[in-house]
Order: sequence, then structure tokens, then C-alpha cells
Amino acid sequence: MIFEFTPEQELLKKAAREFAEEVVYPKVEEMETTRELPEELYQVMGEAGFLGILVPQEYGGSELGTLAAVLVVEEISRISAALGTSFQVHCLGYLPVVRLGSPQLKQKYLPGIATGKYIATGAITEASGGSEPANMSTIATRDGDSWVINGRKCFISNNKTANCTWVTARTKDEPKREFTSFFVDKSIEGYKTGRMENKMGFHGLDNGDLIFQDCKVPSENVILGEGRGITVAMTSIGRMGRMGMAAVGLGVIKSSLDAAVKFANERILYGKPIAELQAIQFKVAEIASLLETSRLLVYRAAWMADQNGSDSDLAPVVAMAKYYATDSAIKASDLALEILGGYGVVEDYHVERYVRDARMIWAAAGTADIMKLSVAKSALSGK
Amino acid sequence: MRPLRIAVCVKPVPDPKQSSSFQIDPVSKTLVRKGIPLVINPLDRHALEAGLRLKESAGGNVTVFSMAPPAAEQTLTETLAMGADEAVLLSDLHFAGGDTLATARVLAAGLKKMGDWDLIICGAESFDGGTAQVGSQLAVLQGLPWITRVRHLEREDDAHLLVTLEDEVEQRDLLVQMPLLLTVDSAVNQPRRLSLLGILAARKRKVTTYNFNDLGLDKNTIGLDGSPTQTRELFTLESSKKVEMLTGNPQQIVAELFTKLGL
Amino acid sequence: MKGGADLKQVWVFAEHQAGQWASVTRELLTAGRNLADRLAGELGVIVVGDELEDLIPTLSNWRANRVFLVQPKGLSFYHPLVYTETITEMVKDLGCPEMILFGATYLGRDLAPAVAARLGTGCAADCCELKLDEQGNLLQIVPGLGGTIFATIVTPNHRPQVATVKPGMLEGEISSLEEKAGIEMPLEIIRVEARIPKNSHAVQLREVRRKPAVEAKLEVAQRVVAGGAGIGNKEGWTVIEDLAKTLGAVVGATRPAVDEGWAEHDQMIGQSGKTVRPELYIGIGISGDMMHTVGIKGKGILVAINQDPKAAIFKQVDYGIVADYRVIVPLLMQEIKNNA
Repeated sequence: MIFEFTPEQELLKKAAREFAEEVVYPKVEEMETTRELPEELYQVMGEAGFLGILVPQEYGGSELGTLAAVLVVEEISRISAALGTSFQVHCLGYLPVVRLGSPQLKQKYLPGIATGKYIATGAITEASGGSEPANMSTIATRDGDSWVINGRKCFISNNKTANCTWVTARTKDEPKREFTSFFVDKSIEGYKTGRMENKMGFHGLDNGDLIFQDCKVPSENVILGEGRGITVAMTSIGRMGRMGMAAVGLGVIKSSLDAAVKFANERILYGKPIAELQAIQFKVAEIASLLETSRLLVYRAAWMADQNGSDSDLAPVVAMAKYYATDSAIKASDLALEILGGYGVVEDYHVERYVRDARMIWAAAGTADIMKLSVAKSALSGK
Repeated sequence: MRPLRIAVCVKPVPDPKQSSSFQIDPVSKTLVRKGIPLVINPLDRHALEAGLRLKESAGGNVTVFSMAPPAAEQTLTETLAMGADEAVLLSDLHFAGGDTLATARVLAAGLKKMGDWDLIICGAESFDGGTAQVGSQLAVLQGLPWITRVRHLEREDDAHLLVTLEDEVEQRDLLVQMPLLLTVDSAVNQPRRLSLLGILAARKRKVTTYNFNDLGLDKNTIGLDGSPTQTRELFTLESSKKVEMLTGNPQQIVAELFTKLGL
Repeated sequence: MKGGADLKQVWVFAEHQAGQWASVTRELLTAGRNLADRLAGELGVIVVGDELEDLIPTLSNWRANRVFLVQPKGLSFYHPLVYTETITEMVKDLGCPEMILFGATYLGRDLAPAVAARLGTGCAADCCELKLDEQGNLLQIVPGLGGTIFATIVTPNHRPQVATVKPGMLEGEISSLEEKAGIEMPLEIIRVEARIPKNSHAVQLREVRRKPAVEAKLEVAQRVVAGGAGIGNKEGWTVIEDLAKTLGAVVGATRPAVDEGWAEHDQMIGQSGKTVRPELYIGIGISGDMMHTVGIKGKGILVAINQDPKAAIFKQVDYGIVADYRVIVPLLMQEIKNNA
């Protein structure tokens, strides 16, 4: 076991950190007020090669792997959890094409994914419940050599910014219910952005409905194969989505720690910095420990994903990392809020944003409750 | 236009962004280095960018040189990720403590070992030393022409560059002939940011380290012993002022200040 | 050279513009004469240029012993190779001086280290003070680490000792020299031929664009009101400007205030900015980082207003006030207006 970053990973973190501090940080205030994503952010990410981090080299990506993606998401999320989430959603959006797509599908989309011509997302959740995807209403019916998709997906991040997505639809009811996942881009008629949600946090990340209305896609846009739709969705969410949200959590914890430490060292009460008061020290110790424990779980899950073992072995590890990092982000940002006292609720000090963003993570890519089911299943089976 | 063999000299320095937490050790009077990461000297990034752009427009290669301790290898790997084709670290205890002339001698030996250069580019000055001397001294030692603090740089033809500098009264455009050495100011370009594809490409490139024995130098010309200048003392400025704090409520303070200043 | 053979020689490279000595040249000449006096030696001045018949004789004001006049034909700009070669050969032909002093201007910072490298001697950059030790070695005090620390540099075993001097640092000594100005001293003029090295064609002048002359306001201001990071925002900065207007002062800034965009770069006081020597300096919201305070010279009264009682500035001023400037400054302006 080596608990150290490689020189290459250090460089990667540096690249992401410099991008976040120099390009993203100046835009954060604007994102909080306008709740819009500034266009140049994806442009710079495209030029810097972040967008193709999971794309194979032959298609113009850097193919650096899941742990690399996690490190990038963490560094970006430290400055903007909204952008960190948008970026990880882009990754989960195209990951099924990388892992399960046909050569034609890969050739068609992956080069554009790497440059930022295509920005991706993934759509399975519906009003019927993201935690119960089998109950979905979106259906796809055969029409000659094509499929026609009809339905509405909701709570889809990047719904406006993304111009391509995987979408899971019900394709058979008898004898057994079956689902198929398709890759669709906005040049195809009938795929459009629907209503936008006004959210508590992650301002600047668009989130809302995707509408499929007689959306006719060629059969070559089927990912993996007919009836394999849930596998495709779980690849995306299990191998990136949950990991990515956990990494967003890491960024929120780190920013909470930095804010708490800075304030504690500068704020004078009773003639000395409050960092010298035990009450503050205990809280800071908790935040620091939450950061380290969360990091270990998330990095290990990401490392495991890169070893390319089975999805079922990976699932509980990722689930544990996701729910733990989420809980830790909520707790850490709350503690930071307390440490800042009255200033905690003042927008200029950023911590109230961390609190709101931390709460956003809980339900994204699978609620913590669902995560615990996955962990329990594995633990109870004696693994 | 013909491709160019370009050398860029780079110095790892304590991160200027952390300068507010710099502390001077009261005994040794040197910077407490612990916890302060080394980065590429900011102006050297502009130098590297200038070299990369020239290479990208007409072909050639860019080799980065640095005289530094072994830990600088990580910093040099970053230059490979930025696009340099090769990096050379000149590292040896014998080189330590050298002033600008002793440093220039080591760099000159390293450059000579790797062949002839069309163009050598340096940052105008380092963040920590700030003398702005190594560039011109390196040129002199190699018998090359030089121009310092270039703010604009373009390729004129096969053998020439057009450079712009600015002094206290005017801007001058100069036509200069290679081989030569340039030092650059920040106005010369906007350095590219680290990209993941660059980090990937750097896997195939290497940092070569040369020590004293590899370079054929005379021990008396390098390091502390080879430096004509010596640091006799390091100190922080202590003020001779004896401050009087004005206290009381704001009205009282203002009244007292008004009187004391004789306004 | 008459009479100078055994006497220690101090050389100063004198830059000039539009028929006048550069202000740093005046400072160097004063310092150079003082150093030469203390070494019981002579002051030689290197001047490169044409049509200086009116300017050269003024060197007698500084009791210069001789001037080395270089008039390179057809060369109208600073050519690094020609200047370096010429001065290097001067040292070899005319006798090695104890020291050569340059201003830390564009030219000086380019030329001085090159000359030193040619001669295998030491060069100290951006000196803010020059002294002599008991052995007659030049003590060159220079800043390091962006101005957070200072070093005394010596070149004990090589000659000449070469140094560049930051403009505005040595000004205080001019008055002490002018007392002796009455003494008549013959100024020897030695014409030195410019040396054109074989590769000088490698640098040719294409075009020159003069910069608009900028009036030096801060450097000559009698009163300065300076703001730093503690001002907090752009609205707060107008308080600084108002106070300056009320006091007839010039506005100065620290680097953080410039980085925030509240002030222009040419308003920055400090290591990388301007040197001020006002009679009254009021620093508001300034921590007292040496990078700023090293730019405040002279014998004026220094006042600081800052909310942090531990700020370093309070050790460097005459009067300190721990308070919110937003409370104190309006009251001060009111007091001034009431008593006007």
C-alpha cells in the first residue's frame, strides 16, 4: 500500500487547482447571483484537456482514469462545488460510451467529448423516483431500424449545458420488463431541455427536466445492447456518478476546513486568536479528521475502479465512500459555520455556500439511504 | 523557416503566492523553507512559453536547464508537461551557495555539454534573488549577444528575431541575430496552463541529472568558493522609530492627532 | 592618467536624458564622491553620448576628478555589446578602479553584471545603501525575497567591485556634499574610443518610440496618504482619496491595494514601486510589510491607522491608532475643515 501521490498525480492536482483558483474563483460570485454557468469555463476545461480525462488516447483523450478524475473533481469543488458537479456529470455522461459503446458510437462522439464540442449528461431519474428506476414511464418503441423515445426525465444536472446524454427507457414489458439505454445528441429532433429547477445550492449548475418527444434515434445509438439498459446506467452511476459526488464532498470538506482554520487564526477574542480555545480546536480536529477519512475511502474506491474488477465488487465500496463523504461534508460545513460564529451566515465568507452545497450532495447519484443498502448487502453476505 | 534549438533556463523558487507566510529564521537569517512548496520562477514560465511558441511555429525543440537541488526534479517534470522536450537538472553540493556568476558558470557548462543553441531564453529575474544578473552573465560567458527584459518577441526570418524592450524613456524595437540570449518580462506573453494531455506527453520525456563530475568545471569557479560576491550578513530592517499609540475615544484620538501633527 | 595612479578610483556610470543628468546619476555622484573621500581617492565619471558640452562641466559640482567621455559614432542607443566591451577595455587600459557604480535602471541592470562577468568580478544588484568596512571594502546592502529581508554583500577578493543602486535610495546625502562645492577642482576630460566588438551587428535598432513624460508626483510629495488591504473595498478607497484631497496629499498604495484594483501600479510605494520621502505619511489599513515600508524614507512624521493592534506597522511609525479608519478619518477631516 502506498499512501502517497505519484509525481504525475501531483502535477494533475496542480493543473486542476490552478484552473480552479485562476479561472473559476473569479466567477463564483457571478454564478451565485445569476445561477448560470459561464461559457468560458467549459472552454478552458476543454483546452486544458480535463474534459477527456476518461476518453481513450486514440480518441484524443488523456485516459488518466477514475482516480485522476476524482482528484480533478475535488480540486475544482474546493472552489466551486457547482462546477465540480457539472464536470463529474459530464464524465458520467460519456463513460458508458467509453466502456460499453460500439466502435461507431465511440468514433462518433468521443473526439468531440474530449474537446468540449460535446458536453454530456446521463438520464435515468424520473418523477416516479430515482431510487426506483424500474417504475419509469419513459418508453422506447421500435420503428424500423430506429427507436422512438418518449418521456420526461427530471433532476438531470447539465440538462441545459449538455448537448448529449445517455437515456434509459423501458423497451419491453412482457414477458419480463426490459430497459435499454441510448446515446442521444441535440442534433436529433425530439430531445430537448425542459423546465429548470431552482435549487438550494450548486448555483451555476443547471438541473431540471429533459424531454423526449418522438425522439427518433438510429439503432446504432443503443449502448451495449437491447435490454441491457440498467447495466449501462449502473456503469455510469456506479463507476463515476457516485464517485464523482463523493469527490465533490471532499472539495466541500477541504474548503470548510480552510475557511475554519483561516478564521480561527485571525479572529481575536479575549485578546488572542480563537484558535487557542479548546472548543474551537475540537471542532477543527473533527473537520480535519472527516477530511482524511473521507479521502481515504474515496481514493480507495477510485483506485479500485481503475483496477477494472467486477461492478458488483466495486459497488459497495463506492456506496460507502459516497454516503460517508456526503455525511462528512454536511458535518464539516456545519462545524465550519459554527466556528465562524456570526460571520458564518454572511455570504462574503463563503461558508454558508459550503453548507448549502453539502446538502445538495445527499440525494445526487443515489441517496445515502440507497448507498447504505448496498453496503449492508455486501456486509451481510459475509464479504 | 528553419527549426530552432532553444534552451530555457528555469529556477525553482519558494512559491510567491505564499509570501505572506514567509518566516525568517532568527538565527540563520534565512527563509524557513519547510512547508513552502517550490514552483517555477514566475518569469521563467514566460521564458518557457516564449520558447514553446517559437518551436510550435517553425519547429525545433525546447530543452529546459536548471541548477538546483535534487528536489527540483518535480519542478522540471512540470516543464516537460508544459511542452518542453527535455529537461536537464544540474545538481551537486559543489554548486551550492553560488552567486550569480558562479551559477552562470554552471549553466554555461550544462548548455555546452548538450550542444549548440540558436536561442537561450531566461526570465528577467528570479522571485527570490531578484538580481536580474544570471541572464546577461550567462551570455557573456558564452560570448553571445544578449538583450534583457524583452516584452515582445517574434521570428523575423531564419536567423533573426525582432524584439521590443522598454526602458525609462522609450520603447526600442531591435533586430537581433541568433545565436543569442534573451531575458523576458511578464508582458511578453501569457503562459499556457498545465494541461492533462501535456502531463500525458511528459511520460515519454525525461529529466536528466548532471553533477560536478559530468560537467568538467573547476572547483574554484563554482559554488560558495567560486563566488566573487559573498553575503556577510542577513538582516530584517528594524525601525528606529519609537511609536506613541494614541488612545481614547475617537474624538479624543482625532483631537490629539490634529494637535501632534500641527495641522 | 595624471596623479591617479596610486589613488583609489571610484567610477560612476552617469546616465543622462535631454541634456540633464538622470536623478539616479546625481545620487550616484554624491555617493561616489563621499566614498572616494573616505578612501582618500578620486571620482571618475563614465559618460556615453554626444553634445554634452554644457552638461560635462557640471560634474565639478561633485568635485569629480575626471570624466571618461565615450562618443560612439553613429550609435544612438544602448548597445549591450558595445558598452560592455568599452568599459571592460577601459578597466584594462586605464587602471582597475576600486568600484564602478551604476544606477539600477534598465541600462545599469543590464550593463553592470555583464561588465562584472567579463572581468570575473562580483556585482551586487539594487543596492539601497552603500557603506565601507574597516578594510575599505564596499558594503552593498541589497533586498532579497521580494524585499522581506536585506543582505550585506561584499566582494572582498576581486576588483572592481560592481554595484547597481536603486534610484531614490541615496538621495539624503546631496546636502552634505554641496557644502564643499566652493572648492575649485580641475575636471580632466579623457576621450575613450568606443569598442565595437566583431559581433555587434547582431543587435540593430529598428525603431524607437518615446514614452510620454510622466510627472513624478509621489516621489516629490510632501504629504502622502497611503492605503492597504485593510481598506476593504472600492468604496473605502474613496475615503483615502478624500483625506488626501483635504490634506493636499498624494495618494499612495501597497501592492494588495493595487492588485485589488483600487489603485494604479504607479501609485504603489515600496520595494517594487516608488520611494517617498514626505514630511507627513499616513498609512491606513496597512500591515507594515517591509515590502511597502522600505519605500518610505526621510525624516518625516509617520502615522498609522489599523484595526489590528499586532500589525507590524505600529513598530515603524511615530503615531499609531488602533481603530476603524471609517470612524477616525471622517472625524479627522471634519477637525481639519473646522480649523481651516
